[in-house]
Amino acid sequence: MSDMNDNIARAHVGENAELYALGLLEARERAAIDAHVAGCSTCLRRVGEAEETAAILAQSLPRYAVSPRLAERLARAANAPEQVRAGRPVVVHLPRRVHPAWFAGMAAVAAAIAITFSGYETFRERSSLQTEEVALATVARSHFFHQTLANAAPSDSLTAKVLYARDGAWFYVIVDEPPPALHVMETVGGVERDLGPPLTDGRVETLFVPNAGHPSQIELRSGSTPVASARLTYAP
Amino acid sequence: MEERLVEEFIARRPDALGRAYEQYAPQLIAVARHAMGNAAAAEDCVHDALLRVWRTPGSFRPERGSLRAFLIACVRNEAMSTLRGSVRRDARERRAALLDPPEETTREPLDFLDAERVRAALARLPEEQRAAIVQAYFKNRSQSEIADHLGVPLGTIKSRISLGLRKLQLDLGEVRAT
Repeated sequence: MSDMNDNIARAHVGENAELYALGLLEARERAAIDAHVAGCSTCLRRVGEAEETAAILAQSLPRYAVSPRLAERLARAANAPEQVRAGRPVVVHLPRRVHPAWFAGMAAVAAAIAITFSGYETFRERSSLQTEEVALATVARSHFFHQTLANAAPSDSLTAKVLYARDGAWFYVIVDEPPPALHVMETVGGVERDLGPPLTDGRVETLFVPNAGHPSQIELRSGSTPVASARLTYAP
Repeated sequence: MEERLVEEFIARRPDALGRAYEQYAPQLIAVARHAMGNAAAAEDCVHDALLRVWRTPGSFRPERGSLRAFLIACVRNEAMSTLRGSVRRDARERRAALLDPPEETTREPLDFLDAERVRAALARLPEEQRAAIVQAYFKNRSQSEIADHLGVPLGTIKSRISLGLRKLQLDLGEVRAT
């Protein structure tokens, strides 16, 4: 099964596009496809076309009364404060004593991901198949790039790093000794969005964002002041 | 109208999720109910699927297709995941459910015209592809269950479903449900 997920993530989705649209794939297989189509317009189109056909099939299903209660539930849930910050559904801690020797940091990240993924297999009940676990499963199977964020001013001495999936499906920001009121901005398709503050763990702050949508830039701001940024480049 | 809703949905405007539900509720509920079997479970399924999408920025891009088809697929996947989970927890219940004809078979479809076109398009498929798609979509069976039921290898089932759906895509290309 893991080989299949790896193949989906690396190669084009092929016939899995139709299986996806009909609801026949497991959560991890779907996550691998989601990660792939985030950076592959050909497969995105094929999946979309399969979904359009499946939507036509749905027109032949029996009609049922629509529940107005559900609209209210959804409106309440969508407006809940913790869900408004929808750009950061997963935060992964690094150990407290992180030295800016970044390979050690990355090893810690890999360990955290591996631990989470090994736990994933034992929590396959529906309630645990949330976006977080699915995203982490994707991360554990990904190859990634890393970049040091450039300080905005020569006098700044912020040390920050971003790890990001080669296909742009996720990124992970690590900041050593951050300034106050730090928050992370991402730019996707020319649109800038505030993802909020990273999680503090001692003198290190981290932010993990799955389903990142192929960001072209990550920027750190202290209040409204840009302090560091990185332009993300991807493999052709 | 859909264009504006899509823009607001992507921008995560506070009321866009509820409005998307209201816009596509008949299809979303029908898809969930078809798989889940009862109203409460179907409602929970639609709720969970839409919130999952809402909490995953970037999951929908207009280049993919229509928001409606995307959300229907999300609900379908949510429902099938739940169903498969239920199967694992209690395979006997699942087998019993498969033996009972679903109550909704006599209900009117969401769209009579589309339903007739779907029926005709399915009838034009090669028998082995039609059978695989009917088992997958209308009988809610997993790939393994279909392979067992039809007595063919799993890889063959995948290919038949993929080919069949692509042929339906060409055949139903002019059908655009509202």
